[in-house]
Amino acid sequence: MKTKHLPGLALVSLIGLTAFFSIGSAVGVNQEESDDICSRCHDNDLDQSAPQVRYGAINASAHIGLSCSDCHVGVEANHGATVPAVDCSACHKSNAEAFQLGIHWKLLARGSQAAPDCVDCHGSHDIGQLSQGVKSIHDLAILDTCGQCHEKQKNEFIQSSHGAAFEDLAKRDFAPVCTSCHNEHAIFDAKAPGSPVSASKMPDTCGGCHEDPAFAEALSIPGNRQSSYEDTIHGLRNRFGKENVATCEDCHGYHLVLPQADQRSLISETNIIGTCGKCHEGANANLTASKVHIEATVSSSPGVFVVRWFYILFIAVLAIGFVIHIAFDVIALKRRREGRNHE
Amino acid sequence: MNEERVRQAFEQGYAYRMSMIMRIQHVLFALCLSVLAVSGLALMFHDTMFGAFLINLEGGFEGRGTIHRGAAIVLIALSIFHIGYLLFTRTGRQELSERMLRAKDFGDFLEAVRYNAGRAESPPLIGKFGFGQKVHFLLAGIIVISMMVSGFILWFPTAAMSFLPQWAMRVVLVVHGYEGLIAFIVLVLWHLYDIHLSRKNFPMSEVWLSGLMPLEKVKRYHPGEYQKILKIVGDDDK
Repeated sequence: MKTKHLPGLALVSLIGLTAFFSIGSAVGVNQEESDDICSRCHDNDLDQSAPQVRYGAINASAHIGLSCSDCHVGVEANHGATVPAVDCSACHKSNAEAFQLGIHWKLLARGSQAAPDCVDCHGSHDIGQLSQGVKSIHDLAILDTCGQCHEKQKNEFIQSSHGAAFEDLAKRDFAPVCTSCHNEHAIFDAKAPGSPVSASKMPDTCGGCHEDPAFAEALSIPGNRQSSYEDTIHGLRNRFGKENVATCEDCHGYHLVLPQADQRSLISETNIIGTCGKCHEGANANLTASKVHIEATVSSSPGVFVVRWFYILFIAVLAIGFVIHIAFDVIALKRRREGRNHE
Repeated sequence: MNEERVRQAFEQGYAYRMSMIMRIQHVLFALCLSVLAVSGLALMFHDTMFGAFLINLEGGFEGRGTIHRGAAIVLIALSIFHIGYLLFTRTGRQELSERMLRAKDFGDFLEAVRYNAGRAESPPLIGKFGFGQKVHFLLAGIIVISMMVSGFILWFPTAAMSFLPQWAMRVVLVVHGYEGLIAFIVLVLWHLYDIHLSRKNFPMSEVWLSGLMPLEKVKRYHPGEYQKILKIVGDDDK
């Protein structure tokens, strides 16, 4: 063989071998091998026109062990420019059903470009990972994830007491994140009756944390906030679906919840007359001095406690007295029948 | 009390105890209180099955409120009329005087207890209204007035809280609810028992409808009043 023929021979052999192995591997493909097929375009640095997936990412993700075709069902090698979208509900049925109840889905179904789908919040190949730039629904990252679209709400939250508690490592476990109040998948419009942040459900949502006395003590804030609200005229009206009544967010705000001492708070000294005045036209400082949360305990509202107990005891005495009165009447009737009485 | 009526009734074997104007006021009063009790207690016990059922029946939260305040307005009008009647008419002042608690009533009460226990020979000479009945009237007056005052405070919270002390609103709510409950219990366990189930009146005293009480009953339970009636009709015979 002449040496000048060697490069040509090598090239032909290479092509031949490649053809042989390509054709050979097209028959009876197993998963590992199919992943390899995908990776030929999608995990190399040769063809930059194909979206690049780092396979290391999948194996570090929550989807470890899955192959490309588990999600990209029916997509063959040498597919066209567009492929069908992945249907996460094939495995994640209950989450998908919950998502379809909410407003994000409603907007998506109408063709909104702004609304998020699964990937926008969860990421795709790097799903479940927690590192910068990765889309995640982990508590530590969700503010940023929701904040991609809801920037104003995110900024308000960060400035609020809830945000401060989140930043404080000692209090982080107590702090809410977006999904604590808005649900994870079934996210409703705030006015929708099913929404946990609708006026009628707000006491339950806030009360989920703020009712528990142990929670309150750990954070040095007042507890029993739900029951102390529900027993009042505000709570009663809200319970019966009246719209023009104060609920948690009317007085405390929702994303920008602030302590009373903070001048920006809706219930600060400077603002409270305006806050109460939204419903109580003409409210003055005398009105705003009264309590909104009422606990009939000696420490909190001794007047209510004493008066209530007075009435309970008085009613008990009265009831017993009347029963005695009735008993005497019946006894006298019996005695008269038996001829043992004067009459 | 119209002497002619007293005489007429006596001839029929009855004592004329309750004038027409009093009977009308009484029926209106009973109606108002019933509506107020049912609508008020429904709200106070809204988280019970019974309360929720009543609120539903009364047109929901709004309807219940309207019914309650409507009946309250009627009661206020009735009360103004009643107070005017008691103070500014001759018969009214007479009625008022008959219902005032006097020292004699306390003595009568003790005497009645002794007699019923077999420790006294004869029963006390109870007049038109016995001790219990006079206490009834007094309680009714006190409760109606305090319910009205507390009710108004609850009805106009913004105006009330513009000058009342800060604890007023929540204490007034307790007062209004529990005193209403007292009224209800007094009415059911005392008044309704007395007029329907007591041995004196079973199955029902007719005084509230006809104004008349049989003379034997008057003789037995209101001997002082019986003597007075005899005097009135007896005078005529002279």
